[in-house]
Amino acid sequence: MAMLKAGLCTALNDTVLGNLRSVGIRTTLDLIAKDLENVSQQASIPYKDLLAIRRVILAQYSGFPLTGAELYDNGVLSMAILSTGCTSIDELLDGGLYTAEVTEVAGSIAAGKTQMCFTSAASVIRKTKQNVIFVDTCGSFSAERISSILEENGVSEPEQLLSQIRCFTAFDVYELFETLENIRHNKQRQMDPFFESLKLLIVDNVASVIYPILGGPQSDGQSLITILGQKLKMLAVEFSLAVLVTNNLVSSEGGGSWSASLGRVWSHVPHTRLVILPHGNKSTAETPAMGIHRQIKIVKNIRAPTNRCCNFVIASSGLSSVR
Amino acid sequence: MDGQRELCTFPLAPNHKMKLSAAGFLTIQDLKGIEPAQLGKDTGLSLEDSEGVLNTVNVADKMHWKSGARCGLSALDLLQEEQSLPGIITFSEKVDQMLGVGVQLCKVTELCGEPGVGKTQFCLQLAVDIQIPTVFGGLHGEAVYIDTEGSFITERLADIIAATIRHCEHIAQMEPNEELLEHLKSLTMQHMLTGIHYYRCYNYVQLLAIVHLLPAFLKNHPKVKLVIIDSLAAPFHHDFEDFSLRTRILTSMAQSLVKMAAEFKISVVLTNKMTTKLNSSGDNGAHLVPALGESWGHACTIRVNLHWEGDQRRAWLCKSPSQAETTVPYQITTGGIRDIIMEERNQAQNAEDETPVKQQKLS
Amino acid sequence: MSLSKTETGVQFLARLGSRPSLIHLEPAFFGEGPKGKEVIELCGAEGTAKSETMHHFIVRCILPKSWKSVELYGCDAHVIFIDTDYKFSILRLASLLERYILNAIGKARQNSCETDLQYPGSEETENFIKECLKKLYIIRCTSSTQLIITLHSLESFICSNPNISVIMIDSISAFYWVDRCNGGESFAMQEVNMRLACEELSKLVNTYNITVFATKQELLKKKTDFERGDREKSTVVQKLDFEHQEYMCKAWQKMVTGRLVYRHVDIPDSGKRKFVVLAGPVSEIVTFFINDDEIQFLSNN
Repeated sequence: MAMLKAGLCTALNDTVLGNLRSVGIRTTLDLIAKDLENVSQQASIPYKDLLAIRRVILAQYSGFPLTGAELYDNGVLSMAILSTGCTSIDELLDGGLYTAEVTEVAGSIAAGKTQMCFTSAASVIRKTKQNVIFVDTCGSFSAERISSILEENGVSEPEQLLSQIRCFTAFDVYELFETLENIRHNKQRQMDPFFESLKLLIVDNVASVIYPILGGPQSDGQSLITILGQKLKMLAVEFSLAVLVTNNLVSSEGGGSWSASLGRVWSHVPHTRLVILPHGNKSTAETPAMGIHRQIKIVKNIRAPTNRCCNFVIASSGLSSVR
Repeated sequence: MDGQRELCTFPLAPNHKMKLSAAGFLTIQDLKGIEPAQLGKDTGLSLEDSEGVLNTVNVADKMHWKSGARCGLSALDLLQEEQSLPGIITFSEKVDQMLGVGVQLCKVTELCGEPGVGKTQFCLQLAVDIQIPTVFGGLHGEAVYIDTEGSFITERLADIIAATIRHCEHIAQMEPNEELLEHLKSLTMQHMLTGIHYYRCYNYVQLLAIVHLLPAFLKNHPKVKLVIIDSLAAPFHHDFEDFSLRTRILTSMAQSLVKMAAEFKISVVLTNKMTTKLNSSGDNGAHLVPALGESWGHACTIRVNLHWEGDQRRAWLCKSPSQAETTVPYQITTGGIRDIIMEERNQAQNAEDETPVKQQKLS
Repeated sequence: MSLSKTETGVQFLARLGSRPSLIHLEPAFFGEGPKGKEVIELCGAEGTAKSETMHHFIVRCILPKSWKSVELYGCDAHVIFIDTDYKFSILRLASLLERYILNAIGKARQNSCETDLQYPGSEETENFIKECLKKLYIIRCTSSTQLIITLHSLESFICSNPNISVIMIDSISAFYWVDRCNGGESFAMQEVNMRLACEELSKLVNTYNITVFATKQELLKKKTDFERGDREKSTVVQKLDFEHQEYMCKAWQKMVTGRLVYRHVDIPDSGKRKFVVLAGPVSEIVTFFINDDEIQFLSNN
C-alpha cells in the first residue's frame, strides 16, 4: 500500500513515477498530504493527472464504510457460541466461547490451560460438525489426550472425529505469523473444505513465542505483539471464528497479586480474559480419579459483569464442573 | 486484503528491516515485482542482501503452505504417530507408567530436584536405555550428553551399562533365538560408551553454541534419539544480573529445543535445580521452587519433580499435557534407577543389582 | 488554474450548514456539551469500560429525539466509527439500543399514566433498531497508512451527508508501537504518520464542525508509579491516581480539548467492579457501574 507503483492507474506510468521520485514523492502518503498544485509545478505533471491518481489511491486503499444495519445482518447470521465442554465455565462466559472474539485463558504452570484447550476442541468436534485448528507453540499437543477425553465423554469411535482437528506447529513468532497468514489465505480462497467449516482457532501458548523477543532496548517486540493481536482479532472478526489463546500468569513485583503476562500492549487485545487462580505447591488430591480442583475467574468481558468465579475439576474427561 | 502482510513479521535481520522501512517498503505488496538490483538502490542494501530479503519474503508468501508441516497435520494422523512412538524406559516401571510409555519422544522433559536426589542418575540411565536394541524393547538409538557441571562420572555409567547388559542377557536366556544372540554380541561396554556423544560446557555461551549447532548434528546423526542437558541451571543460576536478558535467552533456547524435539522426533531431557522462594502469604516462611524463574517453568512440556519423602525418593509428575498428575516412589541402586518393590524374578538375578544406594555423591 | 481553491455549492453548505448537535449527550461527563469542533479523548488501562462508554455514546447519537411519542432524548446524528482494534461489537450495540428503548418506554408509561402506551412488538423494535443502525458507518483500518488515507477520503463522505456530526476512533493509539518500530531511530519519523492523521482530522473537525471521540489505550507505565501492593488499593475514590503517561505526539495532544480518564476499582467480596472517570469537561469525578447493559451512575460521596 505504501509504495507508489506504475500501473496503479493509467495516469501513473513509469515516467510520471520517475518525476515524482525526483521531487521526493515515493509513497502514497507523500502524495496524499501534499498540495497537488505545487507538486504539479515541481514535477511537471499535469494537475488533473495528479488528481486522478489521488482519487484512485483514496478509492483503493481507504477502509470501506459499512452501515451498522449491514454489519448487524451479517453479525446475526454468523454469530455462534461454542461450548467449552465444562458447563460451569460456559455459564461464567455467558454461554461459552463467542465467535468474532478473542478469549484469553491465563494460568500458572500446570494450571489446566492446555487441558481447557483440549476440552474445548473435543466439545466442538463432538457437538457440532465444525472444525478446529490447534496452533501448538510449546509442544503440548497430544492427540491421545483428546482422544481419551472424547471416549470419557461417551464417544465410542473418537478416530472418526479427530480429522476435524488440525494441528499446526509454530515455535517462534515468525512461524506463528506465517501460520496465521496461511489460515487467512485458505479462508479467503475457499478451496479447502476443512477451512470452510473452521469455527475454533486455539493458540497454545502465545507467551512462548513472545518471551524471546520481549524486553531489551529494541521496540520491535511491542510492535510485533500489536500486530499479532491485530491478526488474531482480524481472523476472529472477519471469518467469524472463536479464538482461544493461552497465556501465562506472572506475579507482580512484591508478590501477592497475579496477572497475565506479556504486558500492557497485549492486555488490550483479548475481548474476554479468564484467569485460572494459582493453586498451592502440591495438589491436594492424592488420587487422579478424584480430579484436580481449580478456580477460574473472569477478569474482563465486554458483556457481563466481571470478577465472577467458578470452580472446576481436571479429570480424565477433561475439564468438568464440580459435582 | 491479500499481500498486506507486514515486512516486520518476517525473520529478516533488524538492520535490513530498518533500511526497508526507511525507504518506504512496509508490506509484501510494496516489494512485489521489484528486482534485487532496484531494491538495493532504493534501500542501500547490498545485492546479496536484497536477494536474501526477496527470497525470504517470496518463499513464505507463495510456496510454503504446500509443504507438509505448514499445512497442518490432522489429529487422526498425529494420534497414529503418537501411538506408534515408543518411549525411553527408565527401568522403573512405576516411573514409566507415570510418564505414559516412559520418557516421551518429540517432547522436552525437565527433571528438577535438590542435589543428590538422582537427576544425573536418571540422565545416565536414559543415556544407556536409549541404546537398547529394539528386540530387547529399546529404541536402538544414540544419545547426546551435554554436561555443564561435570557430574558425568564414567565409572557410574559403567555400572549402569553392566547392569543393563546383564538385563538383556537375562532376556536372551529366557527366550533364546538367533536374532537376540546376534544383537547381544554387539552389546558391549565399548559399544555403549561410544553410543553417547559427550560434550562439556563451562558457561552459557558454550551451551548456547552447542544448542545452536545441534540441528545440523542431528541431521548427520539420525541414530541420535535423546539429547540430555545436565544441568541447565548451572550456567544461568549465578552470573546473570540482567534477568530480562536471561529470560529471553532461556525462553529462546527452550523454543529451539521444543522445535528440535518435534522435528527430529527425539526426546530432550533437561535437569534443573531448586531454589528457595519466600512465601507470598507473608509468614516469613519459604518453600522450594524450581530455579530459573517463572517464565522458564512454562517452557518445558513435561516437568518431573524429584524429591525426598522422609528417606524415600519420590518422582512427582507435576506438568504433562497427556498424563494425570501422580507421585511414585523410586530408588537408585548400583544398577541404576529401579522401582522400590522388586518382583520375584528380578530377585533371582545377581544380588549386586539390589544394593540400594542412599546418596549419590556428585563431584 | 486553481480548481482546488473554489468550492462547489454543496461544499459551501456542508461547511457552514448546521449538523445535528450533541447537547445532552451525557450530562454527567459533558454537562451541556460537547459542542462542535471538540476532540474528546477517553484514556485508561484495559478493562476500564472505554469502548463500552463509546458504545453508549453511539446509542445516544443515533437514536432520534423521540419515537412513537416516547421521548428518547437522542441526538439524531449520524456517526462515523473508525475501528482500528476490532473491538467494535454490533450485536452489543444492538442490545444496548434495545435496552435503552425499552427503558425509555417503561419510564414513559410510568410517568404519563398513558396506560394504552404499549410495548412495541419485537419485529417493530428490530426494524426501528435497524433504521437507527443505518445512521452508523463503520470503517476498519489496519495500519496508520490506511487510517490517513481513510481520513482523507472521509471529506467527500462528510460533504455529501449533512447529518454526520461525530467521528469516533477506537482506538487512536492502536498503531503506536508499529509506527515507532517502522520509524527507525528518529522520533520525527516515528511520529510522522500520527501527525499526518491529526492534520487531516483537524481539518475535518474545523471545516465541518465535527466532534471527535477517541479512545487511547494506556500503553506505558506511569513514570511516577511506585509499587503498591493490592492491600493498599482502596475503594475510596480520592486515593485513585488519575495521572496518565502521555505518549502520543504533540500534534494529537494539541488537538484534544477534553479528556476522560478511566480507572476501575474492584469491590472486594462482592465480585463487582466500579468504574471511575475523571471527566475533564465538567472537572468532576464520576462513578458508575455497568449492570445489565445499562450505565448506572452513582452519586458522588
